[in-house]
Amino acid sequence: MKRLEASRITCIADIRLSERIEAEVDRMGLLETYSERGKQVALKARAAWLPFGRRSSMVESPCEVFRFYVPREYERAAMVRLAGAADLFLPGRGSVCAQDAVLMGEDLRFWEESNLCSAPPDWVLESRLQTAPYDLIFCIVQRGRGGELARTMLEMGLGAPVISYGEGMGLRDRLGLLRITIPQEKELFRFLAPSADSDLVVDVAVRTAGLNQAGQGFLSRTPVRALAVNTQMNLDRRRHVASMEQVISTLDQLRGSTDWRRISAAARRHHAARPPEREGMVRFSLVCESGTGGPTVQAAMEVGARGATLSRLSRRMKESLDGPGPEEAAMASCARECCELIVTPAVARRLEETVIKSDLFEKPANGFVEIAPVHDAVTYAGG
Amino acid sequence: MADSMQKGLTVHIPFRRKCSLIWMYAKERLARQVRAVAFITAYLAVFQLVVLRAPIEDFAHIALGILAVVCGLAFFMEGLFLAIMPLGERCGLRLPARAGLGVLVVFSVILGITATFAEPAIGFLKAQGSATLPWRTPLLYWLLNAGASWLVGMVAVGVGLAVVAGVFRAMKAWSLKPFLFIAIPLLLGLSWWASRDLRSASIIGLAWDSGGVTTGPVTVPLVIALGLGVSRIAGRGDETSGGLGVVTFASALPVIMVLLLGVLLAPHFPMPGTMEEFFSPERQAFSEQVAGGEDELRALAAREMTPEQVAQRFGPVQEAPLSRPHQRVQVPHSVMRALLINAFKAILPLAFVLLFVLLVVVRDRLPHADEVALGLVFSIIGMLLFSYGMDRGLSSLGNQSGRALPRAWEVTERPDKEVLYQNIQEPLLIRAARPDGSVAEYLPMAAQSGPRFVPFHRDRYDVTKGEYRYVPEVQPVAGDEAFWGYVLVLVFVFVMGVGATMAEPSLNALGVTLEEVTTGTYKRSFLICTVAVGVGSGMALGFGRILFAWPLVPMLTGTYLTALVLTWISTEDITTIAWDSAGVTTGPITVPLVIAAGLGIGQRAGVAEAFGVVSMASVMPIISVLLSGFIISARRSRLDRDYSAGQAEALPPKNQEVQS
Repeated sequence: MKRLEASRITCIADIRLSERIEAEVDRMGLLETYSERGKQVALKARAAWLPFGRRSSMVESPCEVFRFYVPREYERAAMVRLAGAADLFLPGRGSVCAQDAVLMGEDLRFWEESNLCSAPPDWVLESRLQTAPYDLIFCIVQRGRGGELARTMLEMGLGAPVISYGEGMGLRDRLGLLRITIPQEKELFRFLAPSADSDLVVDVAVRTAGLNQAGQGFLSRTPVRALAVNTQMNLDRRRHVASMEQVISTLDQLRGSTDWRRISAAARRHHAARPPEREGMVRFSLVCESGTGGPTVQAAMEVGARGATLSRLSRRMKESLDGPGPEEAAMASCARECCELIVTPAVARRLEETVIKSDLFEKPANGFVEIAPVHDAVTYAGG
Repeated sequence: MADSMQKGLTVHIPFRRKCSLIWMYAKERLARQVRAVAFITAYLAVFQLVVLRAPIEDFAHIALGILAVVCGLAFFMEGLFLAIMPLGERCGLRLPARAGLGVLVVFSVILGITATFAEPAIGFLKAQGSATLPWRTPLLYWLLNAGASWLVGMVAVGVGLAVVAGVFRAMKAWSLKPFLFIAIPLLLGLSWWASRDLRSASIIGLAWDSGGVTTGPVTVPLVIALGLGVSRIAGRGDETSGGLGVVTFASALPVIMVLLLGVLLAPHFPMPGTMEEFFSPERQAFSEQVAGGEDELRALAAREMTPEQVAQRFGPVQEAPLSRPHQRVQVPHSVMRALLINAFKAILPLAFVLLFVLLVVVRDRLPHADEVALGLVFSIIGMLLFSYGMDRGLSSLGNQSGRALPRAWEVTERPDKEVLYQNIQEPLLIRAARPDGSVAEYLPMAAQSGPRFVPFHRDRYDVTKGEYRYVPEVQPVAGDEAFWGYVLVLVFVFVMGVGATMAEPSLNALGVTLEEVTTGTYKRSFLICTVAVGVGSGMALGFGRILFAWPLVPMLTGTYLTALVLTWISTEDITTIAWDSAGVTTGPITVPLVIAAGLGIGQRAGVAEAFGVVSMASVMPIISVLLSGFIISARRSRLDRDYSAGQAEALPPKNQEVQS
């Protein structure tokens, strides 16, 4: 069993930029990339023919959420290269952020030290690019409820959310055949909020999605370092030489943080009135071959995990890597799934032991685990 | 170990809460199907009552049938999502990685052949060619009767090869366009070649329609799920376009196989001729070959000729004549029993193949075996209820509308309102001259509002009793001009096509899958509406061909060439969605309604066969979906242009883009 400390890079890019991201990842010398399909949403004003009804509609554009792992010292360089390659500094293109992670597995070959290249493209003025403290707000809601949450976030004017599809595991699997009556389809909602405003964002999200009620979903907040954040919140015609999003982005760079645009001085006062939340939690991401994570998740439930979220990933390996024989062909399956569990530190220790004992790292699962700290989590606590 | 854990973690829910959960679950699914079926049902009823002014017969049975359709669709769709599609996707995920390429090919061929035999489309094809006469179209008659096993066999081989091709495409992420640019001209060329010979020309419509009906409501979702599974494991290219395409292959390859069969067999069949020639002793060997044997030839003669002619030609007739080929081959002891057997035949063989491959060949375990078992039971119950409901409800309503359709352009009689006038004497008659010099006779009758002139037909007048049987006539709904009647019929079939397509289970399954893999950026409702408009247009064109006797090959050539040109300039995603949509459109709801309307119109229009409707209803959705792709792209480009006006670089174009 190997244990590896790394930086997890999350890059969200418009689907038309996927090829650029993949090419850049190859040039950086990374061996494996995981991606899932999602959509970025923005608002567009629409003519109102009637006095009632909404004056704006939501426009969805497909995107891809990439994740890969780099040595911690390469984190900033990797983000700069990606943002430069796909021009993520332009609003509407995507976001890139990083967070600390510990990886566990038998075969952790995410990069080749000798081939890692950290030099950014010539034209990127690296010295002027600074990462800013953001919180990645990850929310799981019933399928169809993500749109409402996205609209609220867009109307707050903090950034563009990303929605992808997943499945819920947990209570549903304990109901026997009656589980078919409970929809397992979920929407996974990701939103990068400036740390200064994230308390308020969490508060609004909890109220909008009704997360303080039973069976409505789950929210977690993870501190990340963001280099580029998609701030395109509306798609209306531009009337000036620079869009408001570009002005904000420039001010962020000049001020060196996003604290200047805190939208509410009273944000922190909301903290006391928030529903039950758990701080200092741990996120386990079990990444394995599609359809093989179920037994490990069940074992995790037995040691205290309350639920899991399953999302489908596609693994992409560097083409020049192995020339797989029949034995490796099974290992080279690109269909992967990610089961995410967020647990308390006490449960985390037991869960780690359980995962090590499970067959997650062996055939046919061929998986690994990513463990990362979570700032806090919100869900219905009963009563 | 997992089972014991599952057992230990089981949560007990109070009985009332369980009932509430089940009720909510059932209500949501039933409501979805009510919404899907409501439009076509209401449309057929309103059109018949208001436009055609014909009463709905057997209303109670029809209402019961429609209820059964709704329940059947709800069960069937749930069965698809619980069992059939997860099994297909799991096979696609596991088989390429754990078994060799050879096993994958064998599995694909077996799956394709099983699918064809499990959901035989020959019944539909026979119904479409019910008016076929052996002396006018000998090869077509033989293929639909004595040679039906050849037809089904070739179609099965075509579908088998299609599944292999689709799986390979998903694995290698090949583009669908080269296949289309080779296969469609080949199909058109073969059709043109077949049309040069009078013997093989008759099977062109059959071949094209067989491509449209081969893939049934179980097969389509299954092969789509299989393709997506293989595409996911291969991970090359985009999941949306990579996983689709199998249905396109399954629509095109059977047509090629049937056309090849026709071209090869044509030299061994006699040229079309008259009935007298067909039954002449000199051509007995050929005629027996066409009819399928001596007994069949005698039976055919007994049906088509007078007893004296049969006795003169074949000697005394002893056995009872066989039924016409388009009539029900046999009447089962119990309709429900026959439908149940059909439901088992449609689902169990395919499920057996999938389970055998997963459990025995790949040695995988089913994560939710109880759910899969329940899904299979749901599928069978759903198919049983659905078939029963279609037979008794929607088809019956469609049949009534179909029978009443000729009222749109011709004068029809109302025997149910017949009046018997007594003591009628010749001197009462009034004669009037027509412009052409002929004489029309009228009978003046007293009515409350004054005297009324009733048309007098001598064949209904009993001179000895002085009784006249008057059958009221209804004037054409669209006026005296038959043209406007035809137009009304085409409008009717267009809306019927739109409504029926909206309820098609295969298309719904494709829409759900697309919505899933594109994270909702390609909406199910958008796909269904676009395809429905295409099917409606195709059906209108197909019936236009029947009513106006348009030639089929030029129509197919024109529409397919249009589709190819649009394909050339479309993205890969839209191309696969469009061509796959074409294969799923002709399902268990559309087809019976096509038969109903086709028979109603075809018999009055005096055409030999009503083929071509399905092939036109298959090609037009391709065009409509491809056109919708341009609208989406234009809208997206406008948004990008609006927003990034003045920026140095807009987002680059990319082929794998799907948005709505």
